[in-house]
Amino acid sequence: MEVAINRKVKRSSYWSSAWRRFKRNKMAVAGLIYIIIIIIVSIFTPWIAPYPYDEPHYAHTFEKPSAKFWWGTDDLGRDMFSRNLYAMRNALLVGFGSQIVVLIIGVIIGSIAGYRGGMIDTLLMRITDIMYAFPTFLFNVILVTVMGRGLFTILVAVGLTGWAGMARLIRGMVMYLKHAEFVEAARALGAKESYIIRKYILPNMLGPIIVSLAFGIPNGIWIEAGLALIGMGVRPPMPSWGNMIGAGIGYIMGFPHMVIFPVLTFALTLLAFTYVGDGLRDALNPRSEV
Amino acid sequence: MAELLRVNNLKTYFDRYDGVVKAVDGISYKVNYGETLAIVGESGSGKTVSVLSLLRLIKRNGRIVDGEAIFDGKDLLKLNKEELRQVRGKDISIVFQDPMTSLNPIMRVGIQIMEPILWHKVMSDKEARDRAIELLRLVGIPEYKTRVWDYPFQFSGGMRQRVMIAIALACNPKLVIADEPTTALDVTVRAQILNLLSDMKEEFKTSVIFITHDITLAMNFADTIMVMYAGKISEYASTEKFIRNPLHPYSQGLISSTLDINAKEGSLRPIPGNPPSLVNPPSGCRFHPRCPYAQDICGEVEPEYKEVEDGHYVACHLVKGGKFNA
Repeated sequence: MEVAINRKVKRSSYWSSAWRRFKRNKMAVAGLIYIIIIIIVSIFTPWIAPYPYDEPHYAHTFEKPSAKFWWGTDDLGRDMFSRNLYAMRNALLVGFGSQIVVLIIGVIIGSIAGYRGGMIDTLLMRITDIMYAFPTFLFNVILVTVMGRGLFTILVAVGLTGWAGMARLIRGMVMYLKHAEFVEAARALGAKESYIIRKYILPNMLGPIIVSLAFGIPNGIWIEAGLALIGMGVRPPMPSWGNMIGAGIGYIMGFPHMVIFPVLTFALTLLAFTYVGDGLRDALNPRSEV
Repeated sequence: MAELLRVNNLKTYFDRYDGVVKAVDGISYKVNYGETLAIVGESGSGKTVSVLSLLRLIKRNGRIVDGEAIFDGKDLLKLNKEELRQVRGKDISIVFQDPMTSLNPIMRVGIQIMEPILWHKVMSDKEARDRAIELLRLVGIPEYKTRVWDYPFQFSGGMRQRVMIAIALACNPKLVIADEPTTALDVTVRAQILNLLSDMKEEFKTSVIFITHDITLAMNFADTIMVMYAGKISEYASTEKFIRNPLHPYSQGLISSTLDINAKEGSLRPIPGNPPSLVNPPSGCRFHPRCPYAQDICGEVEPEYKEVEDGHYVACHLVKGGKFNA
């Protein structure tokens, strides 16, 4: 049975005080604004991008930034700006998508291990330890090789190799929360177990989960670019920051714009996510000052 | 006075790597309607377990081996899970020790007061809301009308314990178990919370089991005092009789180890030694290794828990004819 929250009451709540704390961190706010902008841009990329990402202009190869090609062109005369937008879109897809995979696997394994305990816990945690110890990047390369080089398989591969930390985090929180005093108190006052899980355990885990996801996203983006850099990412001509940087690095002396723009956007995006993660960690910690 | 709760020969054991901990080993007591029973004892004497066993709120490695607990005509220990859930919070509720950790940190206190009411379908959502506000007023929260939708972190420790009391009283329970409700609080707040508990007891006409390690609090607050030592009851008497005539050497030791501002120098006498291991409790009387009056028989034969005068029970070989003869 649900306890209806009085909706007329002002929400001077956990979330609004978290938002107040978050706002105080200027870098985090700047990062959040940047992220919102690039998410909107990524959704509408096909309409925003001035050219298709794979359209060559053979008369305009290696062109410097101009009014026609804002960020210049590459060795085949493809518009760098459009390619960057598509690369960003792929990166965000992998970043967010991989964290969904991480969340699903991590929540299932972590909560079963934490809630059941005993042999099941030991078994699941040893599997998690193996995952944790395995060189992530190598495992990614293997997975992508086996499953193919599509965007979706990369996303799944990054998720499949990155859930160990999430599972540990959730197991720890479940183990603490299932015997936390306020949970025992609710039990003592006649709460049903399903209600305790929904209203006591899950909401209290939300903060750390969000923080962990916020740090996981740039990690996913990083791995996606890394895979593309060594030629294991999305198939060309589909652009990725990794393969754009890889291609541009050869021309860095003559045509620096080919490497500067992808590196800048890549770095800015990673920084933005990291700052937002930082801000969230401070804001969602119930022990930090109001 | 009619009997609300009668516990007979309750035994709760915990399985541990080094053996079985007999935390509660065959105790019997009763609580009448409107009575306040104080259970007094050191840490690990089994005072909390003896009460939480009634609602089966003990850790997973604990088991209730034997006994019955007749509450309002039914045996609590024979209820199934769902029947037990119906009793928890509705007929018997608990005020926990540490108010800082016993409230859900991300739920408004008003909702937390409403929860047991709605879980047990005592009244409608709307009525429960009014009830939550009314309860906050009763437990003395200033500006209760707005505070009811605040979060626990916006309350001080004493205020939170008031909220805990409001939650415990939400369903108008027949019995409130207060498990060291003042231990985690500042000394200055303790008296307020105790007064509140006794006011609420009058207001709601509930019985209270008050668990404490502080014998002076028990003597001030309770109608009846039950002293536990190493999983057994050593003495049980009305507060009046207990104060006038504490019979068990352990009770005497507890009283003389408290500070009295008028006492002469040297009257503070702590009980020597430590509570015994409950895996291998001492033979005979479990208190005999620490008892200043111990005799040979104390180490050999377990003393019988018997009524020595009307309503005054004690388990000691040295008590004969309602008197302590050392």
